[in-house]
Amino acid sequence: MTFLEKSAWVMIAALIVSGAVYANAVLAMSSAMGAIAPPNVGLIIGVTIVIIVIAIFGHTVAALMNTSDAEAPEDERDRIVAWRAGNMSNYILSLSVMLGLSLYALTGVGNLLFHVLVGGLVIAQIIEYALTIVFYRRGV
Amino acid sequence: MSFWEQNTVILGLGSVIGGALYFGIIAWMSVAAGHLVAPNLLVWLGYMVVQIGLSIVGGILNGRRLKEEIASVPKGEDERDRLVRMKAEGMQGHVMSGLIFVSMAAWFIHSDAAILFHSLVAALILSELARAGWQMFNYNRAY
Repeated sequence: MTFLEKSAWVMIAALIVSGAVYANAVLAMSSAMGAIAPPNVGLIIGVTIVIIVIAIFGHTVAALMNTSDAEAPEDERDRIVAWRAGNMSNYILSLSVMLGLSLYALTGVGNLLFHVLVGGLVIAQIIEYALTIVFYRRGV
Repeated sequence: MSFWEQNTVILGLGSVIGGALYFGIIAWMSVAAGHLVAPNLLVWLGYMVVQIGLSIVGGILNGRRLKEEIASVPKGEDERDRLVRMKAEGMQGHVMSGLIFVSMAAWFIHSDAAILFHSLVAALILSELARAGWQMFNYNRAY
């Protein structure tokens, strides 16, 4: 497994953990309030820290497993895999923004729009990294 | 200019016209109201219809005009077209993510869902224009 593939696995793990923490906290706050909870700066910062910590730890371990691979420059295949995965992820992100805007236009609930955006960003990134792994394994 | 280059220009123009209409109407309503108006379902739907409609109609008309060029390539898109498109669309995702973060930060500063909504529409338009510009740039420098 190449360093870039390991990196994609690390980021998927980081995003799933942080996404689950965010969703769990929002659901708990919403059920306590009886309405969709407003965005919370502390929660956003906390979740960002979780992503950063997992990413740093995971990438350090992955790099130590094969330092020469980690230091290798990006080749043509890496670039095409990144473009292709980013291209698919862009569609998911655009759709989630349009979904959030349409939901807000229908319901007028701003908190829902914010949480849909966070969900869209997380899901689009998970799909981008998952596709990166798929494209590396089956060839571009 | 190849079919896909022309198509990119058409999509970009669709965004410019749709965006100008959307923000023109919102500005006009806001001036009349004396404050930034809340998002309006009809204006939002109107924007989507104009942008998507212009892109589809423009693409179809252009496709009819250049059908021999499209038919000369399997699936209508060659390897260079695909790479240029993927590169530009991947970059569009990064631009959109950045603008979404800015919009979300604006929420925490202003606590106003209308600002979040309008800035997200602007993010969609600007990222689409960035994609079109990057795609044209890459076509002209041979990707």
